[in-house]
Amino acid sequence: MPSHFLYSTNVFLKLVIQERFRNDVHYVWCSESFNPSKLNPYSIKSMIAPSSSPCDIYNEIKNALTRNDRHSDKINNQKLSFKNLADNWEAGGEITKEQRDEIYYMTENATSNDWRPLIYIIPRAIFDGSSRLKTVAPAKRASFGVEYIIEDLSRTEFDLIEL
Amino acid sequence: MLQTLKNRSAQEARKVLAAASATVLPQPFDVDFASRYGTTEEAVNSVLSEIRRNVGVAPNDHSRQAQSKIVDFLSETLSETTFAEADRTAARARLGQRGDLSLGLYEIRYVEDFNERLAESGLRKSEVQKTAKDPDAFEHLKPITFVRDKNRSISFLVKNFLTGSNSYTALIVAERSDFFLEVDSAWKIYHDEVDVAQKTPHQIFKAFLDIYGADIIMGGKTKKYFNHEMVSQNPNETKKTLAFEALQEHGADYYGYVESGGSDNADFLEVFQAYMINRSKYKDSLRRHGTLVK
Repeated sequence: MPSHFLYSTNVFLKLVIQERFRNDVHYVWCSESFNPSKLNPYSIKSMIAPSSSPCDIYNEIKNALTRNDRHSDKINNQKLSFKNLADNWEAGGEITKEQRDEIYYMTENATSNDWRPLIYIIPRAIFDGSSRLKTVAPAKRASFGVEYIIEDLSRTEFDLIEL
Repeated sequence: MLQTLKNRSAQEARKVLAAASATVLPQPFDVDFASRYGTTEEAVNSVLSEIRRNVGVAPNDHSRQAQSKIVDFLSETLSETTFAEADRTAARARLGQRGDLSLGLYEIRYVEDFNERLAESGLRKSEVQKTAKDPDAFEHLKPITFVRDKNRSISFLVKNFLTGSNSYTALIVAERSDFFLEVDSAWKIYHDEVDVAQKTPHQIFKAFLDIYGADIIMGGKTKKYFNHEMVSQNPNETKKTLAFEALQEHGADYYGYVESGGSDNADFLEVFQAYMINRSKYKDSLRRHGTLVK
């Protein structure tokens, strides 16, 4: 039975970038369980690798910030990801060069507060009957568990929490 | 500069680096990034191979540590190659002007005669500096301005100093221009005189003006505070003027701030900010609370 909610962990800076430069429309990678390690180990829902587990991602970033380590793997990945997104959007004519530069500047000068992780909670029912919830190709997943992509999540379609 | 990019134009280098970045980051679907960014797979692979050599990672090492080194190097190279210092400064200025810059990235400076204003504010320089550097709250006004001839907006920064019955809030009014915050004035607002509870910095300033501000008459309106409003100039004159009148108490000393913009001959001017603070009344309050003031 599908979960009622989908979960995604993203840093605060991503929320801001999508809000300011993408009309508050969000691109998220999500899964059906916040903490797959707590599930029945024989269930496919539990087969989400730590690198894709919203709970593990959240804790990894949180712990890095507690240690004052803004060069952790996850944060470094995020830095490159934001620069890449900016280049991608500019190449597609979706943002201007000035906006691309602003995203670069914000990424390079982000503080610990900007890197703090947030949990997005997304009601699954809003995708019933639509093709907006896309399944990540098995070869692209970190493990066997199903992962999803939502490319056009409106800010009104999810809640945010911090632990 | 990576050797493999040395003979490429800046634009080509950007394309290759963007494609290389997309290749190393987790992706949900199969995409030909080389084509998407207008470069070749060969160019992308050359760059990635050189990066691996630079960071000391074997070609067949796909461990997390190896990945981390490559990502870090790529991120730095992207910035060095495609983000010039002039662009960085311009981006900072635009973000700052809009009020979208982290507070720590603004440069704080003070108007020329700030020391004189400070002497009459009842605050110590250290309190103002603390408020500017580490406020409890700040608010950048982001009005929709009708007039674009002035690159100045207003920011408020506040800090609470809780000292029992004499608790107060230090409030700074700063002019924001690019990534500069120029402190124009600072005020010591006692909590038993002005209700600051549950208020934003701008709301605190308005509450302060409700008590210490003088009524101003402009363009047919009478208020204690004009904030980014269009005000009519006197019609039927050969030279239009902004009529301004403040209802001041006889003998009292006032601190006034009026900034406007627009064409002198237009029917309307935009008043960015206008207020008159009864400094005599303000200083009386300071003295009642035991603050020594000039």
